[in-house]
Amino acid sequence: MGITVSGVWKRYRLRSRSLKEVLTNLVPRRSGAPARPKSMWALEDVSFTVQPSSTFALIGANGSGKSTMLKVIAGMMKATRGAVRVNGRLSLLSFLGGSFHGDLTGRENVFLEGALLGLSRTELRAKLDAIFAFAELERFIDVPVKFYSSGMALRLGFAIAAHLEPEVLLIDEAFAVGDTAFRDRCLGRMLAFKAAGTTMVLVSHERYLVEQLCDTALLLDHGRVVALGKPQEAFTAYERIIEADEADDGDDREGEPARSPLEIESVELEGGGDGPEPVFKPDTGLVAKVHLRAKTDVAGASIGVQIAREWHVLHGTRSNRQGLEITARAGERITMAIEYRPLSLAHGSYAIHVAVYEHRLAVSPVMVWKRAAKFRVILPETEGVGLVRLTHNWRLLSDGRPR
Amino acid sequence: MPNLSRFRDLLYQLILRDLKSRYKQTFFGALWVFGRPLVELGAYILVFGAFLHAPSDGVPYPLFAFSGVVLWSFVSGGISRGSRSVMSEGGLVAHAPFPKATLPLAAIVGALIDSLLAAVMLALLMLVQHVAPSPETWLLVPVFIVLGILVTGIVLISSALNVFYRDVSQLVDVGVRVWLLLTPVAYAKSVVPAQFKTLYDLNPLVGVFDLSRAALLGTGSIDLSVLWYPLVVGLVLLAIGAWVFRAVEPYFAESV
Repeated sequence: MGITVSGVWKRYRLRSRSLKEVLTNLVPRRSGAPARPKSMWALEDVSFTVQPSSTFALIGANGSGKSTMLKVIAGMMKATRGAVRVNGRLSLLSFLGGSFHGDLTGRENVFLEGALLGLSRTELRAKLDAIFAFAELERFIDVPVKFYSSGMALRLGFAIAAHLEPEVLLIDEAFAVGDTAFRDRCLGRMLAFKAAGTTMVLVSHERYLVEQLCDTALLLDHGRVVALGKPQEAFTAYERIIEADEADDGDDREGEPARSPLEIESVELEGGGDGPEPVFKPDTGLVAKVHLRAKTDVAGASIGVQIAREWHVLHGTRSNRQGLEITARAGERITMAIEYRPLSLAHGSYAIHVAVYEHRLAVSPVMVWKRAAKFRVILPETEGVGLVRLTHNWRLLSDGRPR
Repeated sequence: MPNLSRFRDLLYQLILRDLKSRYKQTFFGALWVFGRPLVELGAYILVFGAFLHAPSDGVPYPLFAFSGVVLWSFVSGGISRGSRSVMSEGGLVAHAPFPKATLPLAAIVGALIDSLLAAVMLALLMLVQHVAPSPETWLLVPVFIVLGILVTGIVLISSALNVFYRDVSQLVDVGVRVWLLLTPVAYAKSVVPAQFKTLYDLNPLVGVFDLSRAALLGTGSIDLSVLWYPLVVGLVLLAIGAWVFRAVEPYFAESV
């Protein structure tokens, strides 16, 4: 019931879409005009094995080749070189409810979507009530889908998929949408698949989900395998790639720095040693000092500081929320400090964004310096999962023995 | 054969969806299925019947033309809907693993259903005109089979190529229009001058339309052997179509 991917290469032709281009391409190109690239490699020599009944994650940035890999496994695309072997009945979850036709009722649509996913009419008839119950749409079973909200349609799509009985299940970022309660149910359903021994391959950006659900993770970057191992190791490698990309970006000042009354000269972190990426412990403190220079006379301005990990902002606040506003004359230098104690962050790499707000009521900042400072949190040992480390204590209140 | 039953289930659901959505989404719904051939028929009666006095092999012109329209609506509807069928489901094709050949086949069956509904109207028209169907009417069954093979062959090729070259469906539309003029739909074959006869008969539909009128309205002698030529052409196209479709199907997902 496992999957073996051996030496898979996939080339996309960036080919002409009309006969006109075919004809014009027949005419030799005049020298000087640069030729457009004819193809690109989406996957380069990818090999891995998914053990039967295990859960496997494909991670990587957009365009890294994750979805292509999934489609090659699903047999929707042909590898240019290499081979994929899948043992077991396969289902791919992607584009949930993609076949829905607005004019047809929920019931009618379930039959088509189910047939696309490989459920027979008899199976669907038997499972129809269970599907609508899972989606909590019993009252809407005979309502045309065009009157469903997008969340309802998604719920119905996932509910159909949840009633498949695949041996190999491929999931393409099915969790990108939906409200919290529904996501929890999806996660529960996936844990049930896992418990039933279904082999799963998951394409996801969500570290928490992957770490919780998957045994192994593969990191792809520009179509190449960068890391293959425990999810945590793969994500650590992923963070390094993101950092390297950011380093290439150069200036991270967004918004309108020219219009900003305050110039952020530097951001300094204290309490974690020296170097471009100081290291902190979650139970000690971190002080971020923001050095500013007033370009014009300033009254009532404030600054905001955010702590971010990858694309998640974990915390953000503005100085005026604690009554601190900046009033200065042109040319004056100001230093603001914000202290986090205890730091309460989990193991990982973090960035600090600093923003300038012109006045107390400003909704959006006039400028933001993304990744003005970076730091790392190292925990001596893992003590749980999640993005933050909340201060906590375990106690035994009653041990069940009669007193 | 779980694959075959999956294919059949999916095909059935696609046909059902097309049918239901057609009935539900427009104000007049099913009326369009009857309305379109009637409008076409009206134009033929006016232009070919009244203006040009086209010969109609001795039956009332409306009947003559309508029997052609019924057959033709299957050919043209099947080809133009079928050619676009894979492209128009681009989202599905890109995201779901399923046998893609169900899409053109469902489109062709949809056109067949429209054509059969038009045939019901033709029967009513015959009733009104007091024309009894000839005892050879059953020959329409092999006629539709031969037409189905021809249309399927063409559509498998055009729907697959249309994914890679969008011009194909335009080309097919032009081709279908020209084909209509070169087929005895609105006029009888007898108007074709002798020196063009051989060339004209190269069109595989000529024999099919002739035979079906002879079978239904008794407009001439029945010669089943005229079906051989369109059948062979159809089988060759079907073989090529199946081969082309299978060969390029794995590249649909990245090209739609």
